[in-house]
Amino acid sequence: MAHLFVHLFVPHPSNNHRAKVLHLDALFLYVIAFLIFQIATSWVRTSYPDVLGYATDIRVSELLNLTNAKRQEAGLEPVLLNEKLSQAAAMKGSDMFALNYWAHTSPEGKLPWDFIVRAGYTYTVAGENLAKNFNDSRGVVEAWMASSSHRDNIMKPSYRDIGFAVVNGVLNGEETTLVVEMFGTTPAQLVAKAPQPVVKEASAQDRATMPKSQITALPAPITLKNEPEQRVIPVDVSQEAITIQEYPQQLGLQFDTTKLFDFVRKPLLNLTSVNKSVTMIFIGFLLGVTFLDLWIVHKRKIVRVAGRSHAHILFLSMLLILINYSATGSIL
Amino acid sequence: MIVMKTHIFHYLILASILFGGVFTFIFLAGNRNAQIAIGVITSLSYVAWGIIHHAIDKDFHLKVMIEYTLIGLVAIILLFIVIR
Repeated sequence: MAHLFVHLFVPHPSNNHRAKVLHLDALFLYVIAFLIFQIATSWVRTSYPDVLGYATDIRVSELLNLTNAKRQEAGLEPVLLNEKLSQAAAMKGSDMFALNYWAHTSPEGKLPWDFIVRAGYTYTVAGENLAKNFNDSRGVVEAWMASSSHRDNIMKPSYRDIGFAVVNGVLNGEETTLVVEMFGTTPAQLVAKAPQPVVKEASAQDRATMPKSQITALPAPITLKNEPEQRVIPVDVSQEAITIQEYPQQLGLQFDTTKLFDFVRKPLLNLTSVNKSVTMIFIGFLLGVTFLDLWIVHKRKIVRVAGRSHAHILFLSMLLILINYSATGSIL
Repeated sequence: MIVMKTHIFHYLILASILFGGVFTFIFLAGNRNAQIAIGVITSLSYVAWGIIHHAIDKDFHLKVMIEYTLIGLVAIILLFIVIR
């Protein structure tokens, strides 16, 4: 037993002064084993999603609270959840599944604003953030905040309303949970927000005590003309506005619209955690054996033809960091 | 002494490659495809570094090249499993 341990993990004449678990055939075996692991987990995930799958807990209330917390930290006003923007987000999400795309512009050329207008929201400024395959609401908001363009949307002072949809379906042959976030401000909100000008009209007394030349130079009272930050696109949506309950049928979609706004799934084993744990334990194992190899080879002054253990340790450490920082989701 | 200096230089280059990989990977958080691409590029750079390093040290052997390649391949597969 002790001999087997030494043979497997310690540089020794029996293993040509290189731990057997670091030999080329062992490395090749790891490649094959992890490929099989990948295929097996994919099969179990597809066949038994309640046993092994991606645990997901994304709720609109959390997305809203987290978004507003970020805005308030920056001294901005919170945004309000708007039903029409949420409908627009749900339409966008269902359109992405129906036409199988992951982009701000649909293959038919539809822009986010088309969905917003179709939902009956008249906007002055609007924006869209997309996310897919995140495990929880915090992960979504943190990923958006880490990207400058998405953060700009979240932190834009002129936005007043927000809408979310969390939609599950199959995208590019892969089960996907999409999060669509729509921002907007109506023309009325923008007008209400603008500061009123303070124009003091000279009183009769002022005029009496003022030199004549200055009286003529006094400005006439003006009314502030609110200039929107972006061009206002006047759209009559009264005829086009539809409800989300109607939209899926128009697209020929079959899904439960009541489940559009939260997505919670808790399989027995969370595949994300399983994958992360297995890979990190394996890398830790390789690092441990390589450290031991380096120490013994250095101590015994063994000369051999092999890769540099220092380099392998550096590389495996980097891999450990990458896996630790990896997230399963994507944003757009 | 010259060998030691050369080794330090080589390892500094390796550290720069790996640090660059980690930095870019974290910077690209939320973009899975780009992160996988960075993982693959860093792993390939590591294999290339190993080959060049051993060639300069005049102890290059096919076995060594296969070792670096297999370690790089293991890294790519593990990253793919976690990030996909």
